[in-house]
Amino acid sequence: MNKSRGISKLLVPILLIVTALVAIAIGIATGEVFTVLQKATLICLECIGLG
Amino acid sequence: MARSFTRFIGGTRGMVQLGTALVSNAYVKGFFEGTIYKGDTKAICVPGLNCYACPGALGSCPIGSLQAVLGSRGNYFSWYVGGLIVAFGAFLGRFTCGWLCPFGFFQDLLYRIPIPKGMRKLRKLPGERYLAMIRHMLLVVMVILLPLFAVDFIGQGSPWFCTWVCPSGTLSGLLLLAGNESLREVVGWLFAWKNLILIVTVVLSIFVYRPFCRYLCPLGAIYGYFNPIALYRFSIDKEKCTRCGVCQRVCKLDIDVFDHPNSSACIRCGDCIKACPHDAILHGAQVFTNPSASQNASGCPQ
Repeated sequence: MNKSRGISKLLVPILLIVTALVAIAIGIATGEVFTVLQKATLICLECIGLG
Repeated sequence: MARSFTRFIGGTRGMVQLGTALVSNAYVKGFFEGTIYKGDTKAICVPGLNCYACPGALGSCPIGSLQAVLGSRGNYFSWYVGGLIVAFGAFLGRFTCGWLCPFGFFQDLLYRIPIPKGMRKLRKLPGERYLAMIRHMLLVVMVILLPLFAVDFIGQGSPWFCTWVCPSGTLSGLLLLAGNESLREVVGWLFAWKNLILIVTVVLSIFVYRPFCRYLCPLGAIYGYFNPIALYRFSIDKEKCTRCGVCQRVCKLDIDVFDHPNSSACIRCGDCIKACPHDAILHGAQVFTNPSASQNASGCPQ
């Protein structure tokens, strides 16, 4: 019983991690990663307080 | 010498924080030339709050990236950034805040500054409970809703949290401006406002432990939701816990660990584990293997 409780505690984070990995793959496939790269490789004027 | 440096920096956790901050900001050239790194690693979000406008940053800030994607035309959801944040959260919860976040480390160092005689460090600010809600509101309003819906005529939103609040970005800006004269020439009132927030954060950090993480950080808010279900979580051994309260006394965030080991405010610094005289706070694999493990010592359901 304790063993099954331990496994059930693991189930939620593992399911979340698998879901997250699928989401990351979808994001890469849809080109979202380029939006991130584009924003991150230009000086973010909003971030540094220049508007 | 090495030992005194380790102690000064905050022991093992401080060394890990320093290492993470150095690795994720290893583009040294940027600090001297007042530029930023433009390589492909910038497409990857780091787990902690590390502005991508920092001259040394090799990766991207998850909160900045989330706003950039949500604010870009035609996007209503972020698979990539959302997936990364959920993955970090499901693995570590707020362990990231305590061990891997450069801006958290910055606040930790500030908290070590001694204060004048007659003054004392504060365990919390008045109205702590309400102040702690601000980070959730900032997440919903400034990180998600405003970038999504407050758009210009071509459907482009802006990163509201970065623009109006984030002191990590301001700190990066100061480092960037130090080496970049053309940027210094366009400084205006927004820069003054953001510096005011940074100054308040810095001064408060000397007196109160991690004010930005407690009250303002939307990334900490997200990771906090994962604290009770993350792979790395705490649990109380109900056979050993006597509810003596030592854990709460050593906790710089004033969390009653014996009742709320997975509080959304807990940054997993581990001070309570070290201080517990009964070894009653379980963490890591112990949570899954110890038969007396309970996430609530008073016996409430997990």
